[in-house]
Amino acid sequence: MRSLALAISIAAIAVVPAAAQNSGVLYWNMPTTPAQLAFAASSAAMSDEPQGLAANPAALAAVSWRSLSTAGVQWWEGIYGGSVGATLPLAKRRGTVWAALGYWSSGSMAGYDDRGAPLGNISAQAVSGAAGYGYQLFGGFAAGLALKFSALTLPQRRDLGFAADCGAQYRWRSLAAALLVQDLGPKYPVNGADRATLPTAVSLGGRLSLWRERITVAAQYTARDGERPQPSAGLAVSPVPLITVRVGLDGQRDRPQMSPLGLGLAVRTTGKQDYTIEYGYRSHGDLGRVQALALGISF
Amino acid sequence: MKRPIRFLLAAAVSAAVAHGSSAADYRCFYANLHAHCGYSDGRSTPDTAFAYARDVALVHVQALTDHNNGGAGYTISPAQYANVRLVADTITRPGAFVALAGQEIGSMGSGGFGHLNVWEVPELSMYYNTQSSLVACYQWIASQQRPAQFNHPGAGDDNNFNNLHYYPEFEPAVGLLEVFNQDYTFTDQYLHALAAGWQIGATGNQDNHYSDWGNHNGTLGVALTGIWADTLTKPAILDALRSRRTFALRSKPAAGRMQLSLLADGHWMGERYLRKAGAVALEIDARSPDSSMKRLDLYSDGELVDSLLINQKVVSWRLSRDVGTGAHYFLVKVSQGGGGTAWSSPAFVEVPPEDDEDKAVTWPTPVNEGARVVYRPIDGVTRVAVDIYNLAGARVWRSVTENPAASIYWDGRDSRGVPMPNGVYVILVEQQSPTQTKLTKGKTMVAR
Repeated sequence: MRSLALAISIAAIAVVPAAAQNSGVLYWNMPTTPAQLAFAASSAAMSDEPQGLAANPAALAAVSWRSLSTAGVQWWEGIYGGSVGATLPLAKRRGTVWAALGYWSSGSMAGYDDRGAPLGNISAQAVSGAAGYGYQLFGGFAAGLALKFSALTLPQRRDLGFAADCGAQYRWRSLAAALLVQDLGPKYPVNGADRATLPTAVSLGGRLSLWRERITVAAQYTARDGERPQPSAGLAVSPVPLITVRVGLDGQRDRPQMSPLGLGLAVRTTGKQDYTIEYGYRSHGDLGRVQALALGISF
Repeated sequence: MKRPIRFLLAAAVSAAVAHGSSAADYRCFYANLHAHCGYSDGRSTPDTAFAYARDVALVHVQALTDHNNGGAGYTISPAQYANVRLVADTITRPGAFVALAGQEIGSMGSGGFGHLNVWEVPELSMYYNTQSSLVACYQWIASQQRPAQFNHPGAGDDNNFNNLHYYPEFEPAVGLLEVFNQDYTFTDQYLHALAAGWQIGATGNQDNHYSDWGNHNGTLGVALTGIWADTLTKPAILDALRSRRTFALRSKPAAGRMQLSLLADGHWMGERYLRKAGAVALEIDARSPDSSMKRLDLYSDGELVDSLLINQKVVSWRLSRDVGTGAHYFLVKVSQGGGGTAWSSPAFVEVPPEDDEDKAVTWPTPVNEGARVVYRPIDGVTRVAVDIYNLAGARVWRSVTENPAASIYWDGRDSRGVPMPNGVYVILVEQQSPTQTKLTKGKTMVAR
C-alpha cells in the first residue's frame, strides 16, 4: 500500500503542464455548488464533502457517511447549471466512492448568417459526469482518483472529453495538506476533428481547522497550463453549530470582472440524518452575478 | 421576382433640383487614380504627367502609381518614389488640382494574386513581401492607414485576389475596387466582392502607360473616378477615398462627365450606418451634361431591384426600400444614351436584430472563422471597447477603437491568436460619448 501511495504521489508531482493552452472552458470544472462558488479555486482544499464535479478525490477517504445532494446555479445571460452528487463509504474501511452528474444550458440565442440574416434560435448544452474513489492509506495519508467526462452539444456538433484527477492528502490532527493534479487525459476532441490539449492544473493546498472545527481556513495555489497561476483562500466559520458562513478569496487576474470575494451560507440540521441547505454568491461585475442553491442529506 | 421599371415624365424631371440639399455639402471632382510614368512601365516624368493631367485632361485629381512589384527596370526605386511625392506636393494647388503619389503593389502571373494601388504612403513597400503574399500585402496596407483599391480584378487566378476572398480583419485597409480600367469592366467582380462581404466603393481609372494621363479615350469612353469632397485639397480627397464617397464613370463623349450621388436616409454612399427595420429613403441624383441618361438601375444585395427609364440630362430619383434584419447595401448604375456608364459606391445599411435591441450579437452566430460584433451605437460615440469572455469569466479577447464607424471583427481567437474552443462566450461592449457611457451585453457561440 505504501508503494501505491508513493506511485500516486510521484505521478502527481511528475505531471508538468504541457504546451501553452487556450483558455477553453472545461464544463466539469465549472462551479455548480454553493461551496464551489464561494470558495472558487480553494474549494478542493476546503471541502471533504464533494458535491459538484470538481473535487479532491483524496479527501473522499475522510468521508465516512452517505450523502446525496443536488444544486442549481444561475449564471449570467440566461445560462443555468446544475448537478447531483452522492458519496458512499464502502464497508470494512475500503474507502469511499463518489459520483456526480452536471448539466449546463446556454439558454437560447439568435443565430445569424454572416450578413445578419436571422437563422432562428440556437442553444448549447453540456453534460458532465465524474466518479471518484478515495482510500486511507496509512497514518494520515490518503490518495484518490477521479474520472470525468464532458459532452458539449452545439448545433450539428458535439465535443467529447475525458480526463482524470488524482490527489494525495495528509492529515495530522486539525491540519491537512493536499496535492491535486486535475485534467490529465487525452486531447479534447473538437467536433470530431481538431483536438485541443487539456489544460492540466496542479494545485497545492492546506487547511487548518480550529475551535472544534467551527473555524476552518484554507489556502491553495493552482497552476493551470496556459493561465496565470492563481492563489486562493477560504474561510468557513460556524458561529453556532447549525450555521456556517463561507468566504472565499481569489486572485484571478485573467478574470477582471470577477469579484475576488465569494460568499456562502450553509444551514445544517443534525441528527440521525443531516439536512443541509446552502447558498453561494459571487459577483462578476458587468457580466452579472452568479448564485447557487443546494439541498443535501447525509446519513 | 418581377422588378419594377418606372418611366419618369419629362416635366417632373425638369422641375427637379439637380441635387438634393444634402448633396450640396460636397462638390464633385474627377480623378484618375491609376497611371504610370517612366519610373516603371509608363512614359516621361512625374512633372510632365501631372501637368498634362491638369492642363490637357482637365482632371481635378491625378495619381501616379508606378509599379512596385517587378524586377529591375520595371519597379520604381525609393529615390524615384520620393521624387514623385515631392513633385506631387509641389504641383498640388488647393482648390485647383491635387496630385497624389501612389504605388502599385502585389503580383500577377504565376503565383500571383493581383495588383493593388495605395496612395500617399510615406515609403515604398518592401515589394518582395507584398509581391509574394496577399495577406502580407493586406497587412502592409493596413499598417499604412492610407486608402487603397483592388486594381483590375480579373477572373484569372493570378489577379482575382483569391477570388476576392473576404478578410474582415483587413476590411478598412482596402476600401475601393476598380470597376473601370481603360476599356475593361469589372462590375461582376464589384458585385462579387460586395457579396463576399467587402465594404468597398467604386472607382474608374485609366491605368495609363502612354502620355495620356487622365485623357485616355478608349473604345468605350474615358474612365474616371468621381469623388465627392468638401474641398479640392489633398486631405479632403484622401478622406473622401477613405470614406468611399466615389463613383466610377466612363464618359462618352469624353467631355460628358456624369455626376452621380446616392444617399440613404441622408447617409452618403460609402458610409455604413445602422437603423431599424423599415423603409430606407433613397436619394439618387445624376446629371449628364452632354448626353441624356436613358436608365437608372438600383441594386440591392446583389440584385437589380428597381429601374427608372428616362431621357433626361438631370434626374432626381426618390424612392424607398424596405430592409429587415441584416447587412444590406444599395448602389445605382446610370446608363447614358451615348454609351457612357456610371456605378455608384454602395450605401451600407445595417439593421441589428429588433428583439435584441439592447444586446450585442455576432454576425454570424455560431462563429466559425470569425464574426463581426454588432450592437446599437449611442449618439456621439467616441470610443468603443469590446470584450469577449468565456463562461469561466476569463477575458479572452479585447478590441478598443476610437473610430466608431469601423467594423469590429472578432476572429474567433484569443488575444494570443489561439483559436477559441467551441462553446458559449459573452460579449461586453462599452460605448463612451462625451455625455454617457453605455454597456451592452450579449452572448455568442463558437462552433467549428
